[in-house]
Amino acid sequence: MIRFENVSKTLGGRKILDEVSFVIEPGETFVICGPSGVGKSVTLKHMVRLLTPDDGDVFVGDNCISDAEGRELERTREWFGYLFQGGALLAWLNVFENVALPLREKTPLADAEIRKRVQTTLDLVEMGGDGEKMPSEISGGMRKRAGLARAIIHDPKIVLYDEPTSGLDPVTSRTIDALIERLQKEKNVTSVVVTHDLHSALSIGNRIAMLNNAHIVELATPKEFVSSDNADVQNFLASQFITREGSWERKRS
Amino acid sequence: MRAKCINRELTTEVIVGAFMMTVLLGLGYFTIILSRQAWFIEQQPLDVRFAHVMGLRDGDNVVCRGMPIGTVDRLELRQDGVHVLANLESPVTLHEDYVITVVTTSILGGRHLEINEGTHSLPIVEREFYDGTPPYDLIGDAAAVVNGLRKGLVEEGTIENFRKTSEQLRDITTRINEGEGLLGRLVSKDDTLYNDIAASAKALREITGRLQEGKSTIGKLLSDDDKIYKDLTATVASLRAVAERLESGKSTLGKLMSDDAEIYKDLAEATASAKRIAENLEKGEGLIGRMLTDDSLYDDVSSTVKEARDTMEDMREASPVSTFSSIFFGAF
Amino acid sequence: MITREPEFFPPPKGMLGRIGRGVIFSCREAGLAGIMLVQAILATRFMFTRRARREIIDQMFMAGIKSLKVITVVAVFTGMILALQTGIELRKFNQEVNIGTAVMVSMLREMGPFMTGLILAACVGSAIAAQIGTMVVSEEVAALEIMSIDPVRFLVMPRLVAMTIMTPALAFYTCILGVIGGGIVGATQLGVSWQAYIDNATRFADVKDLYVGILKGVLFGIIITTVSCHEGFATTQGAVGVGLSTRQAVVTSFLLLLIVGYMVTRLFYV
Repeated sequence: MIRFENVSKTLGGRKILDEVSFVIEPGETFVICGPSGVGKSVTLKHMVRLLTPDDGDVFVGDNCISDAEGRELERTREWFGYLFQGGALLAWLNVFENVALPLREKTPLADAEIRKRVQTTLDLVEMGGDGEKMPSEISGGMRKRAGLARAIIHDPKIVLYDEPTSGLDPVTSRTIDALIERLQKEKNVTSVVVTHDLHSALSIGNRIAMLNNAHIVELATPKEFVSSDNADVQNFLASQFITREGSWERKRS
Repeated sequence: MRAKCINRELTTEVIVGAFMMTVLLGLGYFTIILSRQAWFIEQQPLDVRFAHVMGLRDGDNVVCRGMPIGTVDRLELRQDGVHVLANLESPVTLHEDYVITVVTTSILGGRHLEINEGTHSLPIVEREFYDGTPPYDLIGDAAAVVNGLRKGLVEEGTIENFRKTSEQLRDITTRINEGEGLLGRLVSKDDTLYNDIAASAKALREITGRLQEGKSTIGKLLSDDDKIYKDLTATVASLRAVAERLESGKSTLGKLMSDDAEIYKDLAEATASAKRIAENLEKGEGLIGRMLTDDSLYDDVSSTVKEARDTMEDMREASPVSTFSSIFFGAF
Repeated sequence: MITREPEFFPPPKGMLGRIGRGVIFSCREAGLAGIMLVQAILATRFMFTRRARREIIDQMFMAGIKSLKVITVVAVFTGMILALQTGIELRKFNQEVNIGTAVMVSMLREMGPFMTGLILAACVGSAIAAQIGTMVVSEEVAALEIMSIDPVRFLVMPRLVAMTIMTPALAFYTCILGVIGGGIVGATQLGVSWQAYIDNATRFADVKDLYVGILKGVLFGIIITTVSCHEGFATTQGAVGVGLSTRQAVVTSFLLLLIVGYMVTRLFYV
């Protein structure tokens, strides 16, 4: 579904990605983890061409998004839903209007149809009753859920999550995790999750890639990931009190 | 909730709309006012031909006896000159000695078309187009005259004459002040000098009188502006004061008597020159005379008089004789 | 693409390098702003869609009606100052009555649009820059791009249209209030009767003066919006960056207002 081929990127004089290659399969939940500032979000932004690689190509399906321009880029971007770290809701529109925005702007749907779909999606993220609230009136977790609702309103094939659980309390974090899983199961979307929260990564990911020093140091299923011999991975796991014999697997429903 | 939202949207729209409507109405109103077009009044066209319109523009006012009666519609450059096509709101009948001219409106600039209908007793003229009097280029005229003056003065040696005269006068004054004894002799033995001075003063007074009657531009100027007239009369008064001082010297300054014939001659010469100048002025001969009789010199002369007055203020402390000479010098 | 990738350039070497970089960067920014303006003008073909209409009306309300209060005060006092200053000088020549013309002409030609421009740059321009800057920082602009909603069409176009309509309207409003303010000073301080003042004011001002002022208003509106939106989009470095952009937007707008104001006057009156 998404293919990185020898992608390199230098930002601010520092090499963030150095010839990174990997493939994300359709329908899977792909988790990119790693410590802060290692280039996880940069990788994610390459997928929707918010950043352009210095070297190498990014393919979405068969389209090379890193070369696309104009209408082609627009069409490719319609495959995606993107959940930003802070939700990125427009401050002067209420939640309902924010979620309705992609439909209003990009589709010729009638108002009634839009209302119905927005309501359904808001119900899905358990915000059915908060449509009239302004983004400044709701909590960070709600903002993220509203952002998620907006990201999936147009039934994208791929949903990208940028730190979906950062800054949230553990209970809300698990709710979000559950939502991501549910979406993947119900709508069969391909999910790419960027996180440094390993609990979340292990519980929702089909495959986990760990990024460090501009390279992918490990790419494996959760089970293999936990038992990896890579020192970076072991350090990272240890920092979040996850051991090979730990109970992370039991969290899976 | 939703109804409230719609309400707010409506309010915004209404306020913005009301503001825009007000502005547009105001804009329209101002356009009409500033274009000075009377849209609902029947207008009388007027076609005036000028050789030169001095920067008159479309939309400028047409004024008759100080009252705006219409606007300049457009200007057309044709073979025979510039045709000014004006629209008049109130009709004007022009008599044979009508004058139409372009006038500077204010010190801030702007032009308007000034119509003088002419004398009512004369027959009325009706033509396809009327002839405009060429605008008065005051500054140009003044510059030409001043140039002529300067040329004349240098070539005819007038300046030299004046300088000599003044020097002599100053010299005399100094000597009088120093009490060299000339005064007594001057006044007691020989009346000619006194008479000469008196005559000069008289001539000057006559000029002033003529000016006062408004016979020439300066006269007009003076009758318009009391102050300048007063200045001139004050000058004459100063001159008279000299005479009086000389006169009073007859009795009290007898001891100053001496046989300095040289100085006596000097003074006699100087006074004679002054007299000659005054006479020439009166006759309207010479450049200053022309200056006084020539109507086009209004500006130049008024500034000269002002300058003369300023000089005089400065010289007030000095002797009256030098004041007299300084008037003539101030003129150049 | 309106969202910018973070950039990094090695520090320039020496004085010349710094100047050269400054020139190149200014040219680039001007070019980007120009491109954005062209895109926004092209996007005006969508201005009659329902959402755009709503947004334009909202922006007009924010830009115009909300600044009416401050503009009213500034306009009246500008007129009063003009009348007082010229009146004091003209009094020396007994020509006080000509303050009507002086105030009317200078308000229409220059002060009206210019004062409006300054106020709008300070109130509305800074608000636009801050808002768009915050949106950039909180990734809202990126979100719009990913939703394939053109930020120029969505954010810049309504503001551009609103300001292009509102600035000349407010400039005209400023002129009128300024003339009224001048009349008040004339009547109370200089002994020029209201009637004489109005008569003098309307007699010598020209329709051309009025419309050149309006044209200036239009240009100023475009300048303020373009500069502010561009600075907003150019925001980097979080909250500090928003502050810098806002400041830069106001400063650049002021400079451009002065320069363009001069050029328009030069174009029409010399």
